[in-house]
Amino acid sequence: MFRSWKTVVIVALPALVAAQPRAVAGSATLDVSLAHPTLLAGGPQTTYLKVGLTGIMPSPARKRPPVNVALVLDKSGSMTGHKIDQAKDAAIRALDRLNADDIVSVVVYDSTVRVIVPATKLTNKNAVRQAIQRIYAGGNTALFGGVSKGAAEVRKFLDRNRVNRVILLSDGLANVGPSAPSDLGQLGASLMKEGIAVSTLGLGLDYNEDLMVALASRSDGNHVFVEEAAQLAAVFDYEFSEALSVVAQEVTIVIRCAPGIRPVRLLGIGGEINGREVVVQLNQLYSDQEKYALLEVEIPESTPLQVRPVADVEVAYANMATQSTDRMNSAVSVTFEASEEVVAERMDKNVMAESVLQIANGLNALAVTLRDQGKTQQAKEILDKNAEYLTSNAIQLESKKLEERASDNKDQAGNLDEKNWSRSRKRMRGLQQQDARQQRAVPQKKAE
Amino acid sequence: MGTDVLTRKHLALFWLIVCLPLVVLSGVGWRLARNEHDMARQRLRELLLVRLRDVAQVIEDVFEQREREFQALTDLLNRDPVSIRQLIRREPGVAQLVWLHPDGTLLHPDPGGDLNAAERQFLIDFGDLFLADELLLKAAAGQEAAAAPASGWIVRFQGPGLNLLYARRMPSGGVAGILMPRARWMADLIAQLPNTTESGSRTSWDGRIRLVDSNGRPIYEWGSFEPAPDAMPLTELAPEYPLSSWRLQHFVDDAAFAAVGQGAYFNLLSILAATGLVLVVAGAWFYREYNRQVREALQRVSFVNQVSHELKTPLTNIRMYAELLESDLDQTPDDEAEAPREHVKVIVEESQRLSRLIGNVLTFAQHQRDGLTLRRRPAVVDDVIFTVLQRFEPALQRRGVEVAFERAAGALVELDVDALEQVLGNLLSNVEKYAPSGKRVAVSSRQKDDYTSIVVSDEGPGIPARHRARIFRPFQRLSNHIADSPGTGIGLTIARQLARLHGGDLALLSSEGGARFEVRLHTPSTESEATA
Repeated sequence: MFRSWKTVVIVALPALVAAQPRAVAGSATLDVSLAHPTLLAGGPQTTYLKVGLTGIMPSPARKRPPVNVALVLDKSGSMTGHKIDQAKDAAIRALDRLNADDIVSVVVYDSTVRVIVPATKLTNKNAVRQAIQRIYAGGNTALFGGVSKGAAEVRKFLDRNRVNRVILLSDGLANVGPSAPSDLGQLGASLMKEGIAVSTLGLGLDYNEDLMVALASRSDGNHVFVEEAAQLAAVFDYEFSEALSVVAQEVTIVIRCAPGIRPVRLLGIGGEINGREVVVQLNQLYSDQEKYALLEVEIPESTPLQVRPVADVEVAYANMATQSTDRMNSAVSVTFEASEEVVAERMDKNVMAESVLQIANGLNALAVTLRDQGKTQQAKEILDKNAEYLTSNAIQLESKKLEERASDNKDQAGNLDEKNWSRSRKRMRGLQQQDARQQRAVPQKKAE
Repeated sequence: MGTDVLTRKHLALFWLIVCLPLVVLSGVGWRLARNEHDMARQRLRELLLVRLRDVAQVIEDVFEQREREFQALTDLLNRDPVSIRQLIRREPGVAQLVWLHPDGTLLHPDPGGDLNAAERQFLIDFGDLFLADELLLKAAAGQEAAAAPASGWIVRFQGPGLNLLYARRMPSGGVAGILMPRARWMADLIAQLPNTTESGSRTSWDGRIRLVDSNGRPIYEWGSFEPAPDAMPLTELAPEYPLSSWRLQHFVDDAAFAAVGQGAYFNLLSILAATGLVLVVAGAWFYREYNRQVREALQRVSFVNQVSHELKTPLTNIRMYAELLESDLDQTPDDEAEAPREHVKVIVEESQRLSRLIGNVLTFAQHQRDGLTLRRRPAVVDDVIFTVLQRFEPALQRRGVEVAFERAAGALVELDVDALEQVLGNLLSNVEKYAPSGKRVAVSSRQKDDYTSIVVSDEGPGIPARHRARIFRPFQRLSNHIADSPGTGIGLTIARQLARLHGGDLALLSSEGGARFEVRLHTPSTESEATA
């Protein structure tokens, strides 16, 4: 299927200097940098290596890549009334943004699954609209079956020139079929290998956010917590905007650490650590948006003024505009100084702020786990400490984002009680996913 | 009052006659209908089983397809860790890949090498399978361990449920293993299985097919029928290995199914209703007719009763004057009075017969109305017999019948003389009527303890065996020709009733030719009565 694909290799000049090495190729820019390009000479220490990829906004004259979307809608009994009506309206409105080049399928599920619009080119929008209009709610929640069938519809026209995506809307607990978050995560990971992302939209307070987050996260889709059905139109709009702004797909980042450098862990977006080689995969890059992998690395003992290579980075992705595989290379090294001031002065505040954000995000997830175990007090302590940590770094690193998260953590610490927990947990999981995978936030509707 | 009870009893009988056939018919019919229903259900079950087999085939095909893919994959496998990891990152159906050296050493994932998190977890969960090569090969052998198998599935319960590993012995002697992502092969199965179609194409057999895992939890289901949460499947089937611990279940809409099976029940119901209607109509008609006849009979009886009462007094007078005349004639010279004496004798006899007749009718009527009562008084049985015989003697003599009396009941006992006279009168009157050809009637009496037994036997034509049971019933006459013999048909009935009332019975004894009746009466001696 992919044989016609031509391979274009663009090799960026290896920039072995401490300055930010930046490589630019067809539809993305590559930014490899260290939180501390200069480290204090002496014993072993750790720092953070960031590999950032930013989708380049294509010229307006260029046609956007066509999409292949399966809408998988929950029509279980809990969706009855207002919710299903809003969902139908939102889905129908979203159709307006697509054209005859795009492929759409609509799958609905309750206890069983119905494919009400099999995957087809969107030449007859009206038929699709009518099929959506006819949906009525009732029954159980066969979420797994719905996603399986939705993915099968996308697979019928699976094409790397298209943005292949399943958009899942659910408001309830999956009670028919596998429902373990680990299972759904595994399914997501497997779909990602095919280039299919699953975006999950959780509506109301009764869905299983762990399952929905796992599915989205492992397939590199988006996850949105939709508190009110009235927000569905905005959320669908956001999700389709995302799908329509994809500039690159099947992104593979390979970080090869230099001898002596030990990769410790990936923060945020996960991947594989095979010895000194680290592989991170992304399903897509969006236009004008940065996605980064953040690797904690251990640097061995060193002497002042020494220059030590840290890693080579190789990125490969499918360029949607040129329909070719583009490759970029870069490398980064670290220098050592005896003076703390110099080290502090040369610190990359952006990379540091992102590292702080991801560390705090990990602790935020730990707080949820503790609260789940009934250790509410410990969870509160972590969130309070997290808020302090974020606040102090926000000032030092002049980061608006960290400031925002500091206040979020403070709010969350006050919402661990039984009454607010269900809503708060969904918000936290949503935010964790958003930060970890650097998902764009849903634009908030302006208050009227 | 008495007739009311009678009517109610008859009404009950009538309903019984109507209802019993209905009950029997419905019982039999219901059984038949249920048999048919069961058979229809059995046929349906077989039909659904065929459908489930088709579904199971789809499942088996998915695994066969995977097996072929994995075979191709392992054929082309580069065995260095980099290539293996690349393959895992690329292949949606591969969660982990294992490479085992022919000597059993685990080459990938290498426990001593740089394991990534997934590989480490894999070794924790499934490592034991590959540390014992023998186990692996046994498992890879599937069911038939005898033939040297090249490849097969290993089933392992781990985490949320069943995990499937494909293992293959390579021509080189090494073993390759592939762990499929659990969620993925389930999703692939689901993708191949049907989904619920729009309700337009729904048939009553559509039902619901459900795939459940080893714990009975539904994995996937389809069909527009929504079974109740606790519904039992009509039939189920286990797919082949490796999913043999799972089940395919078929549910059907019992209501829709019942409608089809109901045909038999509906037929039965209409037959029952029709039969019931016919029975009720016929029964009602017969009941009305019967009631009418009973009423008429009762009217007749009461009419006869009244007439008899009216006749009784004049008849007594006739008898009395005839007897007076007879005694008057006895005093006149023989030759002049011979003829008139004979005439008077006839008048007396005939009036006696008429009295007996009227007595019978009145006794019967009284018995019907409010039962008979006895009026016992001390008397000698033989004397009573003698008096009665004397009364019948002239008439019997005239018919050429000889009377023999063997007396052995001479004790003074408590006795209703009128009752005994009536009993004997009826018996002798029968002899006079039916058995004059016998030329002889023998009466014998006997007493033992407190009972008296009188046997009256004639040598007439006797009573045919088949009529023996009938003769004591009222209005039963063996011949209905009036010319044959006159009578009301209640003589023996009354005689028996009286005998029974008297603590005994009237029975027809078996005999060779002629009729032989035995009257048994409870006759306590006057002494014992006095002392009691």
